[in-house]
Amino acid sequence: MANKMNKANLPDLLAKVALRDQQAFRNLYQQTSGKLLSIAYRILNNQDNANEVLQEAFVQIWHNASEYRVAKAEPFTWMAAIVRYRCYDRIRSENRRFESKQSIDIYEEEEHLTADDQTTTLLCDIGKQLEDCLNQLELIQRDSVLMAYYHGFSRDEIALKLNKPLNTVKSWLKRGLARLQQCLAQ
Amino acid sequence: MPSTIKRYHNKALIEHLAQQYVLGTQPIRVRKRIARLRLQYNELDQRIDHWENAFAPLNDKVPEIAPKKATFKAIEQQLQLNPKSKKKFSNWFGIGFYQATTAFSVLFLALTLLLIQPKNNTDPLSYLAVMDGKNEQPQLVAATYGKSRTLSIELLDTPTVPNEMSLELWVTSKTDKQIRSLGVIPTTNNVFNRPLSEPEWRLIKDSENLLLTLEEKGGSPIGEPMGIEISKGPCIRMAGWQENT
Repeated sequence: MANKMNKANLPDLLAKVALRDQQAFRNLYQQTSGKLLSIAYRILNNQDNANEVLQEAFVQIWHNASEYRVAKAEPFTWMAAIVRYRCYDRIRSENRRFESKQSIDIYEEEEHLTADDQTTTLLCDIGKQLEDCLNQLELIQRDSVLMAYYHGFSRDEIALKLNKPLNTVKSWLKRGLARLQQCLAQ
Repeated sequence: MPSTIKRYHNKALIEHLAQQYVLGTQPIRVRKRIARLRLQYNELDQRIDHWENAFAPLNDKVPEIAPKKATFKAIEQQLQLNPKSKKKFSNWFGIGFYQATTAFSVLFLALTLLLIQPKNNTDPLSYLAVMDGKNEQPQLVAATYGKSRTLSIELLDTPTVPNEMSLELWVTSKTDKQIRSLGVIPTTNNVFNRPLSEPEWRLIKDSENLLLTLEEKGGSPIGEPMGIEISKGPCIRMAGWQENT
C-alpha cells in the first residue's frame, strides 16, 4: 500500500483530511505509514505493538487534522510527534522493557555504535546542522539524548543501562540539550 | 496570581518541561499534565514545537517498514470509513441529476482540454477551474499547463460586457485567503491563452478558487475586486505534473 512520500503535498492532504476527505486520508496513509511505523518500531521493538500505535495515531490524525497549523511544523513532523508520543505513553504506562531481551539488544547496538565512535554513521543522513550540533556534544550526552529520543528510554532506564546515578543522567540530558540549543541557534 | 500559574511563566522551567516532553523521558503522569498545560500556556506550546522541529531531521530518513494490511482495515473500521471500492454506475443517480451532470461536464471539459492543449500535446494539464455563473451553469473554464506555464481561458457563455468595463480574473489564496488579480480577460475571442509569470504561477499553485468580476475598463484601480461577481469556481489540481518545476 506504500507510496513514496511527497512532502510538498502533505499540507494539501492534511487540509483535505480535515474536511473528511477519505481518499486524501488513504493517500496520506500510503505516503507516510511506512516511515511512521518505522519510528514506532524503533521505540517499541515489537511489530504488533508498533502497528497498533500506527492505527491509534491515524485515528487521531483523522480526528485532529483541523488542528494542524502549517506555521508550527511540517506535516510529517506533526504526525511523527503523534506517533512518538503515543509510543512513549505506551511504554511508560506498561513500565516496559526492563525485562525485555530486545531492549538489551538495542542498548548493545547503541553501545556498539557509540563505543567505536560510529555515531556519525548513525547520523549520516540527518540534517546537517543537527548532525553537526549533536557531534559537538560530549559522547555520553549525545548517547543519552539519542537513547531517549530514538528508542524511548526513560531517565531511569538510561541510568540503569549506563550504570550511573539518575541525577547524573538528568544532568547529562540537561547540559546536552542546553548545548544543543546554543549550537542550533547559531 | 496563583503560584501554580506563575510557575509556568518561568522560562527555565518551561524550557526544561518542553525538552523533556519532546525527548519523552517523563513519567506518563507528567506527560499527560504537560499535554494539558501546553493548551493553556502558549510559551510552553511554542517551546515544544521548537524542540519537535529541532529533532525532526532524525525522523526524516528512517527506513520504511510496510505496515500490516490489517492495520489500515482496522483504521477504516474504527473510523467507519467506506472501504475503497469501485462505484456502481447506478450510484451516480443517488447524488442528484444536477451534481451528476456537473461532474460529467467537468470530466468532459478536462478531457477536452487535455486534447486541445496549447503549443504541444506533451504539456500536462496542471490546474483546472470550471467557474459557474449566478445560474449555476458552467460559464468559463480556466486551465493552466505545467510545462509551458500557460493560462488558458475558455468562455463557454460569454457575459455581456459594457464598453467601459472589463472582465478581471482573481485568485483566492489557500494560505492567507487574500484575493489577487490575474489580470483582465479579453472577450473578443472565446479562447484566450497567455503565459504566466513566476509570481502568477505561484498564485495558481496556492489557489483555492478563481473569481471573475466586472470592473471598470483596464481592471480594478485598487487591486481588489470592486465590481459585480460574474462567476466563481474552485481550482482543482490535476495529477501528473512536476510541482517543483
